[in-house]
Amino acid sequence: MGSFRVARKSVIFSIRAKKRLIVFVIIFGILSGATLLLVGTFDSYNKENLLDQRGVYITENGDYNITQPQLNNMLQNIDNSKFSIHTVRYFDYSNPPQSGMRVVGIDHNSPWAFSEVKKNSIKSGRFIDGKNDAMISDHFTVPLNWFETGSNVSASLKVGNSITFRGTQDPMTFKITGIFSESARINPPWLIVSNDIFDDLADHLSKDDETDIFCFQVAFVAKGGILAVLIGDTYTRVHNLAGGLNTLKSSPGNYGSWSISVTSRDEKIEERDQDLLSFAFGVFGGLIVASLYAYLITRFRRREVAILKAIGFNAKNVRITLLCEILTVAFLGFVAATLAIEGYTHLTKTSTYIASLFIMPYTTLIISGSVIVLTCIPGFILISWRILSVRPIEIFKER
Amino acid sequence: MRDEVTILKGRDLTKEYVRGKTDVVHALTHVDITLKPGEFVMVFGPSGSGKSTLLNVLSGLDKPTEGKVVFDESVDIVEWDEEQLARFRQENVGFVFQAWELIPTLTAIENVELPLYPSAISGKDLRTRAVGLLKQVGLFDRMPHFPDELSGGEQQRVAIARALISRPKIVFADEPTGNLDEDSSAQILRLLKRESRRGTTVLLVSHNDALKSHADRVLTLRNGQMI
Repeated sequence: MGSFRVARKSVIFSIRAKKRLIVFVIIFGILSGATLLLVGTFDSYNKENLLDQRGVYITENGDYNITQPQLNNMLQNIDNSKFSIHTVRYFDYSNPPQSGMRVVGIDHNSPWAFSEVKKNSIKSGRFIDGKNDAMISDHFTVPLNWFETGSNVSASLKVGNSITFRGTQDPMTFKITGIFSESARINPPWLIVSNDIFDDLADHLSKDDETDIFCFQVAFVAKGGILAVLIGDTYTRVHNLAGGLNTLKSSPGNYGSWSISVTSRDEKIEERDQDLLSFAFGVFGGLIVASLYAYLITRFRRREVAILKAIGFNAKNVRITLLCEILTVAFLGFVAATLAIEGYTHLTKTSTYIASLFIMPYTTLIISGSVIVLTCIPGFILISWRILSVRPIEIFKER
Repeated sequence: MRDEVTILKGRDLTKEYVRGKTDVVHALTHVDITLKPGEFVMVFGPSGSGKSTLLNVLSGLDKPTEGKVVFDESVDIVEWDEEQLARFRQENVGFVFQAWELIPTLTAIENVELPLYPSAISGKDLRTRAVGLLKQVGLFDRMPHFPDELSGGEQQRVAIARALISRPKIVFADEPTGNLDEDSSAQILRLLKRESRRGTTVLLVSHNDALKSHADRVLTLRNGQMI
């Protein structure tokens, strides 16, 4: 109870030293911001940067060049244990490109995997997040009461409206969650749904696997955590995969016709090493700032600590007092940096990129927060050494 | 019975400092002192006579070069480590310093409560005790004020309340009136005297001759020796 009270009061008292607090919250805020961005870079090795850092993707050369059977043939040559596979398939509804639309199935859990429609290409609304969500391309216009082989489609073009496919079975309804910017390749208009529902919808609309369903893109991502990237294992696997895909490419009849996109191994390593170096400098800078703060505390609070010890605070309670002050400042700086980055992103990005209140992943926040706390440790040791090793009488005598 | 019991006994206390490389300063030389429960003892002496050093040694803030400090007729606190001394100071000792030594970012009442923050006493009881002490020293209406909003006399009264919050057996006061005017000094001495009458031993060190009349016993220290 006593230690908890000491901790609680220390937090309150450290906030009262306003000048010192403001100066160091700003400094820790800058440090935290840099740490968040650097950790975010590495975190994105598991997300947006996947294709650059640990993946390869193939894209069809033109319409109707990779059929579902060709895709299946190709995937049989890929080792599932080493790569995660993210396909983008489509079928046309009605008679495009003169009219109608193209229904595209993507892996909604891996929005980074599809080069044409990423989160940052959303103009309004948000990215699809489940089976009943759909996105439409900009200028998506489908006539109401439009009939095709007994089905009719009712579509509205705003985020929040629904689009319903009525066939012989129960109607399938999708809520439009977002509108994305058109690229040159998007013609006719696209309706994007999750791969979780794509096959059901194709069946519902009596689409034939052999003749109606095509593959637009496949992304192959080397499995393994950040460690696999750091030791270069993913680069080797991707390099070998790219070689294998080039071999398959020479038999378009069996496997379809596509082009391969892969960042060179050297470029990947260079980018990784630059990120690592930045991260190391960031942590080093953090250590310097935190140690500087600790040093200044040993000067500012030296006499206060002497008073505390004189009136009966033991070493543990003095440590709690000082640690709480450092952590309070570090925490406030971290919160300030997080809010600043979140605020900046909210102000500058489109509303859809911001599907949730917090843009930064929790892993980035947790890792960055841990880094900030870790940078405080040497400073705390410095404080303990400089202040606690001195008896109060020696500090009193310094006056 | 009261006369026979001692609360603190300093025996053959010697304290030497090395100034520079070879210059040895004899701050205390074979000093004996005995404090009884409820006594108001004043150690009188000119500046540099070793008064503060004696007070620091008796309170466990400083270690003597030689000698013993026996507390409650049972333990020699000179043998204790910093942790034991911290506990000793928290449970048995109250300090009143010449320069008050209040924490500037804490209000008057928080400064008073401070010594017992690490203890197991409940927050409510602690607040009640601190409010009671501030009432006793006449600062009830100054509780939420920070030290720099208080006069010197008020700060010293806060320091006395802080010294008494743990209900100590001994209060050490090092020139407690040194920075105060006459009225404030008289008020501080009345408070210490009252505390002594309640059973707390008070050891006051000062060079001020005028304070002698308030003490039950006056010891004179000169050049580190009791005369």
